[in-house]
Amino acid sequence: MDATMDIEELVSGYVDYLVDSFDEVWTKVKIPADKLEALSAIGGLLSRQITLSIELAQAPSTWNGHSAPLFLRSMTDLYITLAWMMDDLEERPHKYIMHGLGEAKLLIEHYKLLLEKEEYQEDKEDLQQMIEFREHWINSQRNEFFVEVDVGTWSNLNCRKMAQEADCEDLYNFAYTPFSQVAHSMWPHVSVYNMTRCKNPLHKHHLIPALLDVPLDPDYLYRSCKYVDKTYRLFEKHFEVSIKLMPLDWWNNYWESIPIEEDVK
Amino acid sequence: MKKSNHQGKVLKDHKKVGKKFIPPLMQIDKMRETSFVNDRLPCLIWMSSLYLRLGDRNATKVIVDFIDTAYNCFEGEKIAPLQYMGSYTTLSDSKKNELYETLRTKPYFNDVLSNLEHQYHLLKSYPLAFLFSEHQYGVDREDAIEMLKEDVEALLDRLSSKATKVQVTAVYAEIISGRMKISAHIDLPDFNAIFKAPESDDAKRVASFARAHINGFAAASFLKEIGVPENNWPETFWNEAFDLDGCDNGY
Repeated sequence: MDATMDIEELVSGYVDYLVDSFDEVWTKVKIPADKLEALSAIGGLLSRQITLSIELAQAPSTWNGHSAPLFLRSMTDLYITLAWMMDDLEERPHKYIMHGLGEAKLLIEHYKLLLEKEEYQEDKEDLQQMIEFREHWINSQRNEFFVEVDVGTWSNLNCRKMAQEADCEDLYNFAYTPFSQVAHSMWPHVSVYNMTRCKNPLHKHHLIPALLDVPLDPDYLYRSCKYVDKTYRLFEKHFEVSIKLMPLDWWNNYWESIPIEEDVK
Repeated sequence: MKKSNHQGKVLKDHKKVGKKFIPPLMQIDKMRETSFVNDRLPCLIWMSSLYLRLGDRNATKVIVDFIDTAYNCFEGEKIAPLQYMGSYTTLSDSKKNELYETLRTKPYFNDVLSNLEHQYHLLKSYPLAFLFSEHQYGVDREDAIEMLKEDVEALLDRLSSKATKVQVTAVYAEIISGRMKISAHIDLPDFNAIFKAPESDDAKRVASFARAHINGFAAASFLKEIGVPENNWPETFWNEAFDLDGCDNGY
């Protein structure tokens, strides 16, 4: 890709497309009135997927190996969750929501413990406000005293198993896992992006920490676009939604439409 | 493209133990991991210095004769292999003196000293220090460090040309001195192949044989059992070397 490409034009065009296509997809989704929980969970996840792609697009300085995978890991994780959830709209969205309420309830309990500690007395008011806010949030959906806390995973499966069941194991192996290494700062990422070889042979050329510049690479935005595309395809498959222009088609059209090298700004 | 042996399954040849997959080599009983860089390299830096500065032909002659002479001095004794510099730390003062007196009569003796004096100058526990008792030298510390870096760099990639010459010579000297016996049915190519035709199959076989022998030796536990003294020169070397100069991040 040419270094002099017009990033601003790419970003604004892409974001406009996402906003429009999101509206198009969501207005076409028909969920029966008895599956409102499913509607909430699925709609929220769709919005989240589009938001992540917009946020990544609007921050070109993050289109590199240090930062973009943090977005992409979240996007692949979301895709696997959504794909697995869509295979059973009766049970799975409900589990997802209830697990979230339980997590919030547990957090409230931790805040309440802090309230009992002397060193947090100065923060008492702030803590109480946070507790009330979260209690209100839970109670708006389900009475707190009917909310179970499950410290396991919401699906009772690990992500790999979910990906297998949702027929997207390749995405798990080749995208989710390497991006997770970035999110969790694991050695395969840290040793490449945060270290350099000491050039002193008397130190056995060991690895030493370094603040490394990495080039901006629009390919990260392409991948984000690809995950939105995959997400839209889930809606096509499960809700028979027909989408006028898919994300990857938009992407290809964009690159075909820009002037060739000598005319690029 | 090489065919994979996956047959539709990852880590097919590994053994699953709980959540771990154990590779085939690690399933072999008594298998031990060795590190050439950690354990053998510090014992071979004297040879790499000679190879770097005397040229291949001279260095080979000098090294082989040096080791043979040393072995002859200790005929019948239980000593660690003398191609490895760390072994000299285990010799008694009288034995060191005996070897020194013999070596100083050799025509190459001064060449050896002048090409190892930077190592002697820098390394407090230098195993060959006994050779320098009467040697006058003037080495600039910074120059010495750079030379030691060259000695080490030449060996860090043990597959490199220089490192191969050093390793093959180490094994060759062991054979010449009679310390290693090769069974007649083993068809070893000419060791000179590494100099004459380094890209040939014969050279590769010789180099591979030398590396395997050095690996096997590094892992051998029988030496201690038969009373051959151990030494901690490799560890000492790396500790001393680390403090000689700071990290170089290339900026």
